[in-house]
Amino acid sequence: MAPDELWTIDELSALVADNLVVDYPGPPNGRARVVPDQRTIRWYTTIGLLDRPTAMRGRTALYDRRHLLQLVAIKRLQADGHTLADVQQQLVGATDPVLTDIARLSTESLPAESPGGGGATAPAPLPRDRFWAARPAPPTSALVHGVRLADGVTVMLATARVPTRDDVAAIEEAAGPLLDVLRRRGLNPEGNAHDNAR
Amino acid sequence: MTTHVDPMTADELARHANPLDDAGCGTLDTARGNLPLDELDLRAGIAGLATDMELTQGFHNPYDEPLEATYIFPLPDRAAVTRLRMTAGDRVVEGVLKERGAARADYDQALEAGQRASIAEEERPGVFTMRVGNILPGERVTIALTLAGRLPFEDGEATFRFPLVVAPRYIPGSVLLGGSVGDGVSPDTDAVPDASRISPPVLLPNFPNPVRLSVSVDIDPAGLPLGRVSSSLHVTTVDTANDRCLVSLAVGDRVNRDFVLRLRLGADDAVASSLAVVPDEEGGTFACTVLPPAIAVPDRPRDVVLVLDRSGSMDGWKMVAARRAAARIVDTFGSADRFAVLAFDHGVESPPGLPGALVAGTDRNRFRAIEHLAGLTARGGTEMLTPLRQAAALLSVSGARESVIVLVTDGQVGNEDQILQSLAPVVTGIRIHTVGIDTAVNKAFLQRLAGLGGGRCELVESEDRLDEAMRHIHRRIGRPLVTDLRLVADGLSVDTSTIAPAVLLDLYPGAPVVITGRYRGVPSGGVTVTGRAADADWRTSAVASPSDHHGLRAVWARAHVRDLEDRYVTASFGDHDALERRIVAVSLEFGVLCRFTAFVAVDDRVVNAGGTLHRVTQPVELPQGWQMPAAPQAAVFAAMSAASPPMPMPTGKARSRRTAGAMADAPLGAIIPALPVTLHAFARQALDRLRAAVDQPLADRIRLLVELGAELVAVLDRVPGLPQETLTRLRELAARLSGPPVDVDSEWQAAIDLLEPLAGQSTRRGRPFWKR
Repeated sequence: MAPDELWTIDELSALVADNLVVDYPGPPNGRARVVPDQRTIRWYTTIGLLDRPTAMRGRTALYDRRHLLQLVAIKRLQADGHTLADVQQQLVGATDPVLTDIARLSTESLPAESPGGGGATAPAPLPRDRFWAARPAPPTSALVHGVRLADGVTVMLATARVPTRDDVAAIEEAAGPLLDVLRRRGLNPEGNAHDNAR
Repeated sequence: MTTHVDPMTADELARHANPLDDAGCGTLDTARGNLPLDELDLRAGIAGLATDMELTQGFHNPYDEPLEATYIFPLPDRAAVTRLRMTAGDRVVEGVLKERGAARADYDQALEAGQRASIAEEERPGVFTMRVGNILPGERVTIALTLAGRLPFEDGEATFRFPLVVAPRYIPGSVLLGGSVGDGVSPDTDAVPDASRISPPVLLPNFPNPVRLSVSVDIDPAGLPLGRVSSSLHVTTVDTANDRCLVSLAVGDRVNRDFVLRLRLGADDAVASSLAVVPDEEGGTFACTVLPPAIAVPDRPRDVVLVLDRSGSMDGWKMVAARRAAARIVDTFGSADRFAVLAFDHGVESPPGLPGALVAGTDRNRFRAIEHLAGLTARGGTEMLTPLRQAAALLSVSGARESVIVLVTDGQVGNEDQILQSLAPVVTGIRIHTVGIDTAVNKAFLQRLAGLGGGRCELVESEDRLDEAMRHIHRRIGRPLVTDLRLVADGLSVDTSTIAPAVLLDLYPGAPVVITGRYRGVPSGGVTVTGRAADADWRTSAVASPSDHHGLRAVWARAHVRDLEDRYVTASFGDHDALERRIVAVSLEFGVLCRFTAFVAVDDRVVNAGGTLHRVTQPVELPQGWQMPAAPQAAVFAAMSAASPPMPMPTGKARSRRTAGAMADAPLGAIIPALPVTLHAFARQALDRLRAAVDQPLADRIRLLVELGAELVAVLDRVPGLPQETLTRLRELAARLSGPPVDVDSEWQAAIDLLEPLAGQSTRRGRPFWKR
């Protein structure tokens, strides 16, 4: 057993499914989605049912044994008819032995010990020492607006304001000369080889 | 000479209301949630406008492993934290204020060595993290924090505001790779590099109250004419000798909103222009209060950009209040003014028919804007920086006109520093007024933002408060009486580099300005404050008079350090390391906690040699009046929990949505969206709750009565056309229920007697329901 085994969400998903198969009183069709999607994961984290991911590999979140215990425990309690508030009362802050108990798992059935074992993980060294002295990054807007001038020619605007119909009309009018240049140079806006040949 | 009435009754009630104590040490009582924090006790003393506070946080360990508890919590943003004491078992350990890195190292080392330890860190103005480590199973550790503050005084009213919960905040930016620096639920991002330190987990609405809350405030008016006292929590007030009074919590309220105590002080001029000095070894601290002069300034045409937050967190009464506030502001524009309206969530929208530019404040344009505002609903994220920058860009062409941004929001964003840093260079010459609407508002940010633009910040914690706040806003928008204030020494040897706030606020009607700083030598002579009023020079002078406000030194130090911290954030060039060293030096010299220092307490006994540690971050309440954030329920839960009953949370949400929709047509709007819309429905529901609770402990029954009283007020406010006599009867009942309990059984019966006929279930026929 690797003490530092970490899983992606898909791997975790499969493990949860494996561990629920035994005496799981859930939907009998067996094809039910047993593991929540990203949004549900985030929601569980928000209400303290699930710890944050143990680590990130690039943009991929990685989970460990405690997450597996938490998810199986959530599912068990829900299958037993508990409301989410009940589930929260029982699981928030629960120790690993308590989670194991609620999840009805035996230590042998689990694939790996969590790093350090038993919820007693020492905190990893801080990723950014002296974070309190850090100044925030200047803002970059993730949102851009696009105005399609012709097939294959779109102007991207990093402005905050959504262009109005008037704006679009004005931009289209001003774009005429640009489209002409593109056409003359064979850069193919709104057209095909026939147009260029003409 | 002064008789203190100890609020025993309230404490006892609260204890009964929360039988956590009865569980005894170490009992594993899963039904109660097993959270580390089980008690909050606030004791405050107010003398005149000076205030001293002590907040005690009680942590216990209900687990069978040694515990480290992390609690992300708020404190008043302008108060100075001057002391931390940790009590564990029979020992009291005094906390030491150190540079933050050094304090953190001490704490980590103590935990490693198996010693009990605690550390208090300031994440940003008003938001703190407490960690208490190596609490043994069954053990209890309490942390007492001492704070000094000064009450703001405006419009004849002094306000004591103590926040109790850190609300969920919108975290923009992309996730930083390589992990997070805190124990909260949001990952750190480039825009909010400490998001994980300000995002506690959230309790679901029907979680049993995990924290015993007690509050008592001893008010000594110290010569000020104290009038009505009003509160956002259910309190009882006991008058004691010498015009003093003691305010304490009536029943065990949930820790889910700001505690706001408004002290009416007779008249606007209850506070006089003055120069208070408090000497110490190296000179002393002064506080100069400058009253706005009773003059009229000519109206100047204004350019106003109204920026309205319609993000998801505004859902419910806040959106209703924000729409009304915005409409009232638009209504104040004259045809010589120009305005624009920007409503934002993750994008920015303007009213259709009005270009996204400044337009004249004509009837037609104002109507279009108000019509648009009336239809706005809450949705989406809180990308606040973009609309503010856009507003600044619109106003950059204003020239000689008064240019104003009015931001209406709850302020629940995590990127405060980023917003201030990006706006600072582009808002020169623009006034920013902020209107904060929430039961647990981000006051610190809204005040910093208003300070950046020389404007004012108004806070609205309930719909009732809105009208009063709007009157003040109306008086102030864009019309300061005196600008360009400067403080000049006039006998007192003022150290000008210590004046706080560093950028003096302008004088507005009804809002005195307080300037603090340090002086050298003996406190003789005075100061002169100069400024510009109506295009002429203006000045006023004050002579030093000794004050016994012993906390003033700390209050000044906190304000001065805050100025330096703001400069650290907004200055785009300069020596940040030198600035940091200066901040640490002032913080340590004057003993006030700041972002670059921390209080650490270590008990040198080794109690956990084994070294295992269970770590828990305390989840906190969702602020009152908030809708639970959307749970991605449908697919997963439907699939997973066929055996389980429907989730109360999503159905509750659906119901309140419907109600809110129905309420949009009602003139008064929804105060508590989840309330039934008719008196009949309310009465039926209330009777069900009364009947269900008839065998509950006394404290629970009292709490139910108080709740019903408050809800009844809300229902009556929006049910039109009741006969006058019915209305009077019901209002009397509401007042009786909301007030301090006198005779619970008779109040209980009175409620049933009045409600039964309304619910259509009366067995007594033919008699008007109010005739018992």
